[in-house]
Amino acid sequence: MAFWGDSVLPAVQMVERGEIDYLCCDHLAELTMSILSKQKSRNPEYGYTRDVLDLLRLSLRQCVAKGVKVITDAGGANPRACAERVAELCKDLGLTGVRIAVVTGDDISGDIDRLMEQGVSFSNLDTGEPFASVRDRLTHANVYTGADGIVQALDQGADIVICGRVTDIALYLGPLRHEFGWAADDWERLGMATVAAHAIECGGQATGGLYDGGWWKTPGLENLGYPIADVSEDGTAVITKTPGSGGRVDIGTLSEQLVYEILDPANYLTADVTADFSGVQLTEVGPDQVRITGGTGRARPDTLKVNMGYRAGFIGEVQFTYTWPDAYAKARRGIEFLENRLARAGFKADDVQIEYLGRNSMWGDRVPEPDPADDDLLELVVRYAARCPDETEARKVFTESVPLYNNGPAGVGGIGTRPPLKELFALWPCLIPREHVTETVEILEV
Amino acid sequence: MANIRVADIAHGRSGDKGDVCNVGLVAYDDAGYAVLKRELTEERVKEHFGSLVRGTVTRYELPGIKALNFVLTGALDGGGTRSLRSDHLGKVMYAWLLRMEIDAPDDIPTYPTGPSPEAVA
Repeated sequence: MAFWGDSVLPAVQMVERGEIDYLCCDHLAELTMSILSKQKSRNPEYGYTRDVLDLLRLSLRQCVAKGVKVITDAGGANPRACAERVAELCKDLGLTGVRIAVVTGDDISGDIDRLMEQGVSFSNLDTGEPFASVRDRLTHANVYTGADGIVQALDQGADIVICGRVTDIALYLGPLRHEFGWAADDWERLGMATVAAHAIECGGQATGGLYDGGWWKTPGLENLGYPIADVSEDGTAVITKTPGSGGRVDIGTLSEQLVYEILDPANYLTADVTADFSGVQLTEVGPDQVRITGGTGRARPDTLKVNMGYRAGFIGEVQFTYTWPDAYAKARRGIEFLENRLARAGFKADDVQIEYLGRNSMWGDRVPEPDPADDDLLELVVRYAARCPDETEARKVFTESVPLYNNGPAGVGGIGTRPPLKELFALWPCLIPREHVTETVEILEV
Repeated sequence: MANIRVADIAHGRSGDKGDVCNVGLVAYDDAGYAVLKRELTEERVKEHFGSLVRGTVTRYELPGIKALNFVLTGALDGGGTRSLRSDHLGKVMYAWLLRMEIDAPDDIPTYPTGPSPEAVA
């Protein structure tokens, strides 16, 4: 699994048919922690991604029977509560002797004052802005921690390891260090294994999902198998997928995934190692089997990245559609109508985006505006979105658009009902020296 | 020389890291990789993205998989979490690069970008 809400069934099938030793599940996107922290503040029992319970309800019996260990970051903002729910689930399923590890230490939100006194500035890594500009709007502060806690948990006999904001890569390096006994500074093996982990950390994107080079030649996307890495002692791996599942694993699918969301391939920074992808090679060694080699690594960075989110206002948004004849002229007049009404309502927005869906919503002004003389333009969908300082302002966008239905230009459809307001969380990237961060492992035994 | 699109010789994928978007391109063969390396300079890629990229374009090479990685800064309207764009995560930025027109030798092997129209009908 690659994010909260990703399909559970392929992970269950992997346990049933994949002959795996470890099921590694990533449930956290960049700002999932903002959402989870908000849930935890409303209810101290929440704050983890609850889909992990759906996954375990369907797979835990088999995991225990086959000795498959589960490593997950589903603990999110509340790993302890997550582990307690998993323990209850074990009891419901009649499973005993299961060791559930909780790995904590990533959450530094309660230590900010002390850390600042000790000299950690938390200034913005990209812009250099001071932390004070967002501090009062902070939703959470979690350090991207490495694999140390997971290794400790497995060394203590854990069957299920529940973490908070560890790196995605650590979910894979943890079990590998435990199995192979790699030292924490075995940079070359850790670097190679990081390349393999990166190839599979986004689930179905390695096995034919989003495959630009051949989506139309990829069978069974509806039943896509998740990727499996058969890792050797030297850190190289053969990537495959669950037998009998849909999708494909070949040089094309894996090449696309290797270049997904990376910056400088020779300096891929993680909490555990600085990996070097620049010499990576792929070899097809069987049907849906690709060997990955050529990765390496160097010493890990002295600092760890902190995942901080802050409340950044609300998005107010509306869509409406104008039709032939003169769809473009009508849409322009409709937008003017909305803007004039918003101005009269004292509307305040930090930024506004106006797009024509189906025409220029993906590539903005790189796409020419419609030609007013185009008599074949049958419909034009307007999307008006504004980033607003608060909910009251954001609500005005829809409110002021409703009169378009009977007061505006002719030929409008599809305004619909009031869409839910979207609260915005923005990311505050910053660093912390690693000596300030200590991971702790606690074992719950069912 | 022939005028082709990047999509005729390469496939791609893109994604986000904060306000940075990266576009990875993978050539279908060695000849295509050579053309990509020659034609897709940082300057030309930046010009092609125009106002979509407010910052810089940096190119990296992964020769073992015939891939180029373009790192575009200031490319997601402030970052995926606060962007107002429909494509706030930059998932289709790669396709804009695939549309770029470039020069290639007349005998350059080209590849389909999708199913044949008959297959769709």
